[in-house]
This record gives sequence, structure tokens and C-alpha cells, in this order.
Amino acid sequence: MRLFTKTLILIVILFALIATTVSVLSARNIYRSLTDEFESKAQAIAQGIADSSTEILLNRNLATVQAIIDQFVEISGVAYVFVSDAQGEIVAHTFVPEIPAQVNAQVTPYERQGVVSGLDPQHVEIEGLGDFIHVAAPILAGVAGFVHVGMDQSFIRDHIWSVVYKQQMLMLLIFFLVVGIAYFAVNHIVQPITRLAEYTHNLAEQDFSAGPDIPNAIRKIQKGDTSEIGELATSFIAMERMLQQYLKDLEETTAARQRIESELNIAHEIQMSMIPKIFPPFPDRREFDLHAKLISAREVGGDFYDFYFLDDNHLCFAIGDVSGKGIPASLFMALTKTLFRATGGRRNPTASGILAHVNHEISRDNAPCMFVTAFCGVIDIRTGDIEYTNAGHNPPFIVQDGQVRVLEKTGDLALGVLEDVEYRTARCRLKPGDQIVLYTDGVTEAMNSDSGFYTEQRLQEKLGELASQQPRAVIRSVIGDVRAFSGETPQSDDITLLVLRYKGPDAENVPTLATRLRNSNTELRRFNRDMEEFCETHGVPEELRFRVRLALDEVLVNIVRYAYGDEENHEIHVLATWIDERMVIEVLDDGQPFDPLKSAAPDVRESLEEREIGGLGIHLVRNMMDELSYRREIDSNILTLVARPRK
Amino acid sequence: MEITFYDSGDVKIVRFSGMIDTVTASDAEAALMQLLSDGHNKLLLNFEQLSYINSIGLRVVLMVAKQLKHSAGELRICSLNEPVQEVFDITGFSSILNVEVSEEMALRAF
Repeated sequence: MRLFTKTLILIVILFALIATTVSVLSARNIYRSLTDEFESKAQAIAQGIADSSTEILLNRNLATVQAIIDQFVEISGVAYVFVSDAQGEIVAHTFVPEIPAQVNAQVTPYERQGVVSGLDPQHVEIEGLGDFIHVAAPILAGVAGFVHVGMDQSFIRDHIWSVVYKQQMLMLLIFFLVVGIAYFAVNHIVQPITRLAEYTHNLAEQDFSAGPDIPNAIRKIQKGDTSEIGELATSFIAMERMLQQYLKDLEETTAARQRIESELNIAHEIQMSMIPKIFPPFPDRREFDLHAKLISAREVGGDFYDFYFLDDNHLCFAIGDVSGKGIPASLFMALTKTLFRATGGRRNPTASGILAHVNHEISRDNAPCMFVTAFCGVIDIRTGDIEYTNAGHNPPFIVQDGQVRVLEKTGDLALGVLEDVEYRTARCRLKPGDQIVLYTDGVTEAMNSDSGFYTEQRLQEKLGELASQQPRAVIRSVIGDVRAFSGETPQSDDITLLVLRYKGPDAENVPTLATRLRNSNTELRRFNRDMEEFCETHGVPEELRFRVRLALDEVLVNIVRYAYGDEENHEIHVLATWIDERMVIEVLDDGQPFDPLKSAAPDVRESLEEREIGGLGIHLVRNMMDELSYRREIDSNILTLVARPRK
Repeated sequence: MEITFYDSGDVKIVRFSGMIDTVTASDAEAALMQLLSDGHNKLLLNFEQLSYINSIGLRVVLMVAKQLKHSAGELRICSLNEPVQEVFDITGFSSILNVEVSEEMALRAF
């Protein structure tokens, strides 16, 4: 209704203005014309009387004069008539009851002056009687006196008021009429707009799943109204239709995208399940430690690694990188990896033979011309000899005697380029403690925010620092370093690492963890992690791990707290061995002589109130471990713990 | 270690996720002491996500249990996994404390 009220107010103001102006103007007009009329009337009467009564006055026939002027006073508008003689005395008048003093005073002066005032009307105000138009006509040019006629102005005023009043009433009537008409007229115009406004307002809250629900009223507007409002209606309807379509399309696109995303996730899982992920993969083979990790850049990727035993003494291990990324690379990766595995089952496989065969197969139907760089090695675990072929892949690093060197390439083509290619073989040998590290360019070409690469040099240096570490720790550290290097920059390519550490032929080497730690909580935490890793690497059963962890925790906490009387730093040595399915741990500290086994066991049958807060640690150790013994050697406490897996 | 709190009636359920060892025991202690000083005297410790506890953690639990006993409150513990249950058994805690199999059973016992 706001448009409507606006228009209405405008009309009212306009009308009021017109009415007022008209009234004022007409009032003035009436006043003027009536005044003129009265004045001329007064003049005519005065002059008429003056002319016709000259003789009568000269004869001093006052009665007749009175009679005449009495007659004239009857004329409408005439208020009074009086005659004054040459001396200025009023000889006849129509005042009732008597001549007002003011009149006397006024009349006399101008006769005394002998001024023959014309017939110019004057507006006089007589106290007690009102306003009058006064005219004085000279009798015989003033010699015989004057005839005065006064016209009642209130007559005029009343007349004006009556006319104005009638006018205003009429105006008011017309006003209401106009307002009434205007109301319907404006309403008629405004209504479609109001409806359209409502319609669009509701659009925002509409549920677009149904078809366009255009109210009939709107449709009528669209069809019936040819003005701009009709056009507006048409636009709104079109807009609603478009919105609906757009939302429908959006829904479909979103659903499609979600489908693809979920399928990609499944594809990722399938891909990841193709790659061996359980470590340690061969816990019963102590001649080597092997660990590998693949981190894809997108949901699916083109890198892979694999390893398996060709026979009891030969382990085949490989890494590969398919050109490209995303779904095409991942499909090709699946193909290549499957071929790689399958080929290994043939008779007398060699690294070069495997790669040659895989190459042959994938080159054959290679329509999209994709290729794969790969490295394949076969290690004789009795001797540490490696026979390998490098098909265009990043040459692995050999970590030997604390030095890191690059394994010479064999100069071979990547797989999938040419169908029949001979692949060459090269050899190297690992000594116990040496490592071979395979990687893909996702590591060396990882970028940071300055567009710098991680580079082979950095990897080489890092591997040098990790020369004495287990493969799992090596990979963890390298990946951590790469991540720290890239910072916020997203990973653009798959990162793959495979580390194999040769330990020598069986029987001589026993999995051992030797650690020195200082008596601080941070060191304890670090040791816990190392221990956890050692156990996982060597396949220590879960329940045994828990017991070992708890026992060591208690022992070490005890030592840290009680073995040292001073605030100095001391070192604690721990030697853990996993041998013949037993965990044997020796804990050595150089503190005060302290035999934890001598401390009284808490009485576990005591009630809650009676229980002391203390003594629990050693009690737990005794119960968790199968054997526990203490001895003092020179200036060290040595605590030995033995635990076997429970069946 | 993460500690989360839930309410079930007038029982305050405290869920531990991770380990209560030398490093985290003081956090556990602080959280539980805070609950006691806030006036909660019905506590249920849910150890479902607790992977490890050592003697220091046990000490904290014992201390809380003693305090609650003293102030006529109730302490119950539920959902221990196998290794943790064994620790409780060895130390005799499972007989001096109220240990239940599941949270529902523990809540019913209050």
C-alpha cells in the first residue's frame, strides 16, 4: 500500500492547494467587485438624492428630505443617509436612535474647510456600528450642503463568507469524489505491482523442486497488462523458470561430482590394496629389513612398488612410475604391477628378464603411448649380491659404510616405449648393514613455495644422516624432511620410497636394540617410540609388546626417580634382544645400588582405604615379565627382564 | 591424550583416549581433581579408548577413588581392554574398585 498512500497524499496536497488558491482568489474578486458596486451604488444614490433634492433643500422642506432619505435607506446595502447643510449641520438623517458623535465630528471638518470633496468613497469605521463605505455628494457644488450615504461593509463581508463557504463545501464534495475515484484508479494500477512484489518475495522461499507454480493472478497480469507492468510480470516469470532450471542443473552436477569422488575413493582403496602394505613383510627372514611407503598426490596415482621372493634365497624388489597422473596413470599402474607380479612366477626370472617381458606386454597394445620408468633388483640374501636393471628410472642410492652413492644406471629405456628391447643387467653387492634406497621423482621434485626442488643432493645428504637407522625410521625421516621442505605447497606427484637393509645371512645376527638414554622424561618418550618400532619391525606379538612396554616404563621411571641422589645427568643403557621368540632386556644404570626386587610387594588384598599409593610399579614388572633378575656390577645396577609370548 | 566429559543424569562420565603414562598422568590428575572440587561426586571413567596405563596412572585413579570414598561419592570404571584389565587384575585394583564391562552397565549401577 505504500505506493498507494504516496499517490493519495500527493492528490490530497494538490487538491488542497487548488482549493485554497481558488477560494482566496475568488474571495478577493468578490470583495473587489462588491466593493466597487457598493461604491458606485453609494455614489449614485448620493448624487441622485443631491440632484433631486436641491430645491427641496433650498426651500428648507426638511420633512420631504427626510421622507426621501428614508426611502433610500431601504435599499439593500445602504446603512445610513444624512444631509448636511452649508454650515455643516446635519439637517436630516436616518440614524437610529441618534447621530453618532463620531459622524458629527467627522462631517463638520471638511465642510468648514470648504473642500468640495468629490464623490470619492471613503472607508470609515464608526464605533459601535461597524465599517462603512461613505460617500458625500455635494448639493449645488457644496454650497447648499452635502448628501452623505454610507454602505454597510458587513454586508459585503457576509456575502463573501457565504460564497466562500458554499465554494469550500463544493470543493470538499468534489475532493471526496476525486479521492474516491483516485483510490480505485490508483489501486487498480498499483495492485498488479503489489502482486508482483509479493510473488517475487515468495520466490526466495519457494521450493523449486515442483514445477513453476505461477499464480493465476500473475499470469493474468502478464497476459492482460500491456504496460510496463505486464513486461515486468513476463520478466519475473521467465526469471523464475531460469532459476528453477539452474537449480536442477546444479543438483545434477553436484550429485555427479559426488559420485565420481566416491568412485575415486574406492579406486584409491583398490590401488592401495594392490601394493604390499604389511610390514615387516617377512618377519621370519632376518637377513634383511625392508620397508616401503607410497603417498599419492591425488586419489589415484601412477607410482608403485613391489617385492616378493622368487625362491627361498632370492628376493625381487622393484619400484615404478607411470608417466602422467590421475586415472589414466592409475589404470596403467595397475596393469604394469600385475604384469610384474605375474612375470616373476615364470621359470628362471631375472631382473632384466622380468622388465623385458613387462615391457613387451605393455608396448604391444599401448595406444595412448604411456610409459613407465622402473627399477627392478634381485638380491641373493645369502650373499648380498644384487642383480638389477634400471629402465629409465631414478637410480637408487646405496648407503655403505656411512657413505651414500648413486647406483650406476644400466642405460635402459623406460617400459612401454619400444616393443622388443633387450634389457641389460648390472651388479652390485651389499655388505651387512648396507642399505639400498629406491625412490620416485615425487621425492626429489617436491617443490616449496619458492619453486625450489628437494633435489637428489638433499636426499643423498639426508640418507647419509640416517645411515645407521632401520628402514622404517629412514623412510619416516625422509618423508618428514620432504614435508618440512614443501611447507604449505601441495604435493603434486606421488611420493614413493623403498628401503632394504641387508643384515647378512641368518644365525649370526639377532635383532637388537641398543639405546642410551638420559634420565629425562623426553628421552623416555623417545625410547618408547624406538622400542615400539623395534617390536613392530621384528613382529613381536601385540600382547607381549604391551607387557614389555609397561615393564620397561616402570623400571625406567623407577631408575630416573630413585637411582640418583643428585641432579646430574646420568645415562641409562638398555639392550633389548628378540631371540628365539623371547624378549630379553637388560637395563643398566650407574646410580646408587638399588635392588628393586627387594622392595616389598604391595598387599593387593588390602581394601581401598588401606592401600598405599606406591609400590605398584615393581609389582607390575614382576607380574608382566616371565623372569626378572638383578645384579650389581662394579658401579652399575643391572636389571634383566625376560618375557615370552603367551599362547 | 584426550579427555572428554559427558553427563548422564548426575553422573559425570570421563572418557580417556590415548595413554595415561608418566607424561600425561598429571593432566589426568588435574582434570579429575577439578571435577571433584567442582562438586561432582559420581564419576565414571570410561577406558574404552585407553591403550595404556602405568603405575603412575594407577596412582591417580587410586587417589581419586580414595577421595570419593571419603566424601561419600562413587567411582566406577568401565570398558577396559584386555591388557589394561590385566594390569588392574595384577595390582588388585579390579577388586577394590568398581569395574564394569560397559558404560551402560556402569551407569545402571550408580
